[in-house]
Amino acid sequence: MIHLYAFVAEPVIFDGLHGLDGAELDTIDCGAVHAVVSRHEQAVSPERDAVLDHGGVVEAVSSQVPTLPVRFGSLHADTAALRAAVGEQQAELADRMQAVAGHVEFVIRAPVEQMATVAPPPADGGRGRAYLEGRLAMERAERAARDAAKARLHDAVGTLAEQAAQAVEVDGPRGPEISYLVPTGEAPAFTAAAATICDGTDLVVGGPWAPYTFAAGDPGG
Amino acid sequence: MTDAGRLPVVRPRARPATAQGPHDSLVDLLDRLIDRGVIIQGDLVLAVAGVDLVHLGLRIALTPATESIRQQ
Repeated sequence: MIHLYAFVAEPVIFDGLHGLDGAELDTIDCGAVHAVVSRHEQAVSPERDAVLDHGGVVEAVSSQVPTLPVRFGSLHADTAALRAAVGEQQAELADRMQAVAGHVEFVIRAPVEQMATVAPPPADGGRGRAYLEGRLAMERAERAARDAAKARLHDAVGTLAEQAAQAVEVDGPRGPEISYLVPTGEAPAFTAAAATICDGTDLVVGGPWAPYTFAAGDPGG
Repeated sequence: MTDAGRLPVVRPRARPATAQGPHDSLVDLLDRLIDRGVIIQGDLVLAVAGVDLVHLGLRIALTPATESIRQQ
């Protein structure tokens, strides 16, 4: 079974870098792109450390050659199956790789706490009306919290997007966030600017990472 | 035949700084690793009746892990 990490523009030699469970890394020619893979007897257990190890490979590769990150969990039976899956997408993958090459991703997120301050619906469901009113109150409170978080985020980041090649806002499960695609050479300056913006606030800064959010073509979609 | 001597060499790099940094940032990184990045059509090799068992298992495994990170 083949575990897929990323696509690169040309074959690479891995020197001391290993994949999940210490497996050897390899590249497979898929036409316009080359897949970074490791081979396993069975599917790798999807635990947190395995996910981070996947990310470690992607980060190492993307910091050294143009790379298109692949989401954790892409498994293929063998080389032929992988090539067949890539198939007609190879040109599009190559285009996307060119678009994100030489860039890293940052995120600034306004956390939204769980709605613990609002009484949840009765555990047994209660009477129909009480249950629905409880659900409605929770949804309204969460919407208000998200709106407030979004306003807080926009007020804080101001014109930070001007320092990025691309920015996209996503209303994520942990609160509204803006992901920034930043040229690698400008990452230190962006890090400093983001830290200044978020200092003394509850905003969370993440990155620099491989450009996962921008790899799929339509990050806002 | 490719000249292996001219191929780029990729060496290990330290894990992303945030993997050892603030827990909330680690959660954001995990979100990206499992929710973003390219998906290759046909990667649902462990699927039954349209249900992607690989991703389904991943979700189940990760929920308590990420929650425990947030609670630390």
